[in-house]
Order: sequence, then structure tokens, then C-alpha cells
Amino acid sequence: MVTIEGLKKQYGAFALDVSLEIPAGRITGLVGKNGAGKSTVIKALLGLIRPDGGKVTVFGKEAASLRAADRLKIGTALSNSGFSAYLKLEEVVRILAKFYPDFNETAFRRACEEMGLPFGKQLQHYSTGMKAKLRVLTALCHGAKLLVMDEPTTGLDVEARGEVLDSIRRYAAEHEDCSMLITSHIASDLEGLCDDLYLIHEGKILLHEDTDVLLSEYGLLRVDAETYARLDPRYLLSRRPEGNGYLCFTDQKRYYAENYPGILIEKGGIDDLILMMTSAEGRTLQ
Amino acid sequence: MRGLLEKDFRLIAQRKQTLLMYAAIALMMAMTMDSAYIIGYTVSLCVLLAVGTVSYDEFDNGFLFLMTLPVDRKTYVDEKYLLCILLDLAGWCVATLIYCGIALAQGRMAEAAAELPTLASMMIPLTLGISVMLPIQLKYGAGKSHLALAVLFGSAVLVVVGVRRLILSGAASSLGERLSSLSPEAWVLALSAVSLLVLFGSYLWSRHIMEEKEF
Repeated sequence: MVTIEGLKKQYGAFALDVSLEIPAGRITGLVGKNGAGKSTVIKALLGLIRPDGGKVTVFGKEAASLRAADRLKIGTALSNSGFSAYLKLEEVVRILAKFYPDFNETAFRRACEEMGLPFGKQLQHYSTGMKAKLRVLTALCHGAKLLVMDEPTTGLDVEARGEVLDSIRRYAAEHEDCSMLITSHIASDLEGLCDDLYLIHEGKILLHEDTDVLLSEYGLLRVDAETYARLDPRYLLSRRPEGNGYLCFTDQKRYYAENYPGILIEKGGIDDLILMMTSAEGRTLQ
Repeated sequence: MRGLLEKDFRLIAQRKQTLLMYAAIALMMAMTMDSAYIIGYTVSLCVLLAVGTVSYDEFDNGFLFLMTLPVDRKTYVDEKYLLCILLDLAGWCVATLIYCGIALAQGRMAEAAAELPTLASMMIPLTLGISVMLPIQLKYGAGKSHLALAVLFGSAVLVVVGVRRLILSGAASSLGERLSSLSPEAWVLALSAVSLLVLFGSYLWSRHIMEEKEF
């Protein structure tokens, strides 16, 4: 569905060099710190910027040459951009109906009502959470085959986040061939949603892993200095000092559990992945 | 294209109070001033409203989202030119109807009818206005476009003054004589052709600007 091969983009000192793939029917997460290059990847994928090098193809076409007919099949929710704040939701409904032949107005209106979005209010008077909900509903309203969501749950409280994630999950279940690329700062959102994850840091992909594998095989080892000195370093991805010992990140936690009985092993999550793989010390082991 | 037009008409309609105020001023002008003023005033306002929709699109990272909708860059430019031309024509028709209605009420309809070709020729400078404003708005955005337009119009005034001096000084007297020998109809035709050519050039330039733009 989406292939990015050696995408290069330079902004001053920042250099992006990324390759990734989103197969049909797959939900892919892109995680990384602020400024890691997530938004640049999304912009390149949507043909909003011109790459300095490499190739980005969507539906088998160069992203830069996507036409209106191709964009009908893409649903987008960007974290800091949407319909003009001077419009009301009622007007947005009319506009969407003109843009998308497959716009499901009844379902869209129902979803907006369920999420408590007022139709007669200008979007500039919406709360941050309401705007976030509308952006996601807009992306889901026309049967898109590719969903690109940049921080779709930003600004939402726990309950609203659950509603939005449920609507995304429901969409994925009803549209099995639909692919998604999602970025989020909230690890639990991605853990419960994505099939695989890419970790991006300073413009480079540091790691690509299936979410199941990440959650089952990756882990944190809390060891003192003496135990650390005895540890087999082959499967340690990173480490950082902690108290009198080290906190180590591994992709083979079972290996250490079997060979070093008694050491403290914790389940690894996306937050740990970001924290351990992108810290300066962590990267010295790679 | 239909979605973009729907969006722009709805954004323009947001300015209801301003539009009503403009309409009241236009009516007062129609009753008290020369015909040229109401036509020029109304059509200029329509063009400004149409060009101003680019600012709405640009505001608050709007372009970023807009370009993810089923719109390509060429369609965006097509729609802006179409909107300007539609509003330009609509403004002209409304202003002319108001002018003719008042002339009819004042019993000078024949005089008003004779003026129609002159009134139609007012579209020429306004077409040139669209040709200049749209690409500059697209290239420089709402913030810098005012400065760019001021520089451009200042340069245009200097060129006009320069050409006039050249003709008056006799250095280009043969050109001046040739131009002054043209009939008014020939002038209108020539200027119409030039303004259409400029409009087409402006359209191509706008397309190039949008193709080069990153969001």
C-alpha cells in the first residue's frame, strides 16, 4: 500500500533518511521523540513536501503525483491542521458531501452526536478535544483505504481517547484491507492498536518490530554493576546507569531469564523502547 | 473542485455583516455618484473577497489539511481563478442591475443603456487585478503579500510615469501618435486581449507557484 525507500529530506542540520513499508490491511505505528522526523515522513507520504532523494509510493504511484482521485482513498487526521475555524460543523458536513462521493452523512452525523460535537458552533469555539475528535471522524467518514493519523488522541481525556481509539478499531475491523499509519506520544494507544512499530530518531529508523514481539520478547533488566559485568552483551540493545547498577534493554528477555536466574526482568513497552533506544548512552551499545 | 467552491462560498458568507455594509455603501453610491464608481467599487470588493479566501486557507496551517483532501494543486489553482471570475462577473451583473434600476426610476434608462459598453470595459483593470493579486497571495501568503503588492504597484506607477515622460519628450512621439489615433473600440479590444493574455500568464504562474510549494 505504501512504500518508502531511502526517503531523504534536509532541513538545516536535520537530515531525514527513512525506509519503511505499510502493507495492505496493516496498522503501523511510527514512534519517536518530538522532532524525530515523524511529521516529515507523513508529509512526504501525502505528497506535501518534495523529497531530496528516495522514493515514496502510495497505491503504487509516486506520492508527489497523487491526484484528487487517489486522495479520495486517503483519510487524514493531522494534529495541528483541519477545516477553517470559522466554519460550523453543519457547514463541514455539506463541504465533505461535496468532496467525497462515498461520504456517509448519516453515519458521520451519528458519530458526531455520539461524541458530543455541536453542529451549530464555529470550530474556533470547539475545545482541543472536540477538534481532535472531528479530525478523526473526518478521516473515517468516506471509506478510505489508507488512513494517516498524526497524534490522533492529542488533547483528549482518558474517556474521549477511548472513544476515538474505539472508532479507529471499529473502522479497521470493518475495512480489513485498509492500511493505517499512526503516530502517537501515548504508548498505550499504539500498543493496543498497531500490528507493527517503527522507531524513528534524529531522522533515522532505529528499529522495526511487530508489536506482539515487542511486548512479549523485549524487556528491561535491572542489574547491579557486578551482575552487569557478567551479562552476555549480545542481546542488550541499550543500557543506562541507575543507582548502583544499570537498566538494560533487551530483545531477548527469555534468554536472560533462563541464563541468569534471579535477575529482575520487567516487561518492555513502547515508552521503554523510546526512552532506552534514543538516549545518548543507550545508543552506545548499538 | 465542488468541495472547494462550497468551502469558499461558505467562508465568504461568514462575513455577512461586512457584505451588508458593502451593499449599503454600493446603494448609496448608485444613487448619488457616477455609474463608474458603483461598478468599480462592487467588482473590486468581489475580487478582494475571492482573493481573500486564500488567506483563510493559509490561516492556522489550513493548507496542510486542505492538500490532503481530494484536491490536487492544479485543481486548487483552477478553483481560485474560477471563483475570482465568477465573483467578478456576479459583482458586475449585480452592480449594473442596481445602476440600471436606479436609472429606470430616474427616467434616464436610454442614457444608462448607452453606457453599458463603457461599464463592461471596467472588467479589464479588474481582470488585471486578479492576475496580479492571486499569484502574489499564493506565493507570499497573507502577511507578505501586502508588501509585495505595494512594491509591485509602486513599480507600475514608476513605469507609467516613465513612459508618459518618454512620449511627452518626443523620444517616442511616433508611438504616442499611433496610440492616440486608435479608436475607443480598438483600445477596448486591444486591452481586453492583453488582459486575457495576462490572466492566462498569471494562471500558469500560479500553477507553477503551487507545484513548487511545500506544506
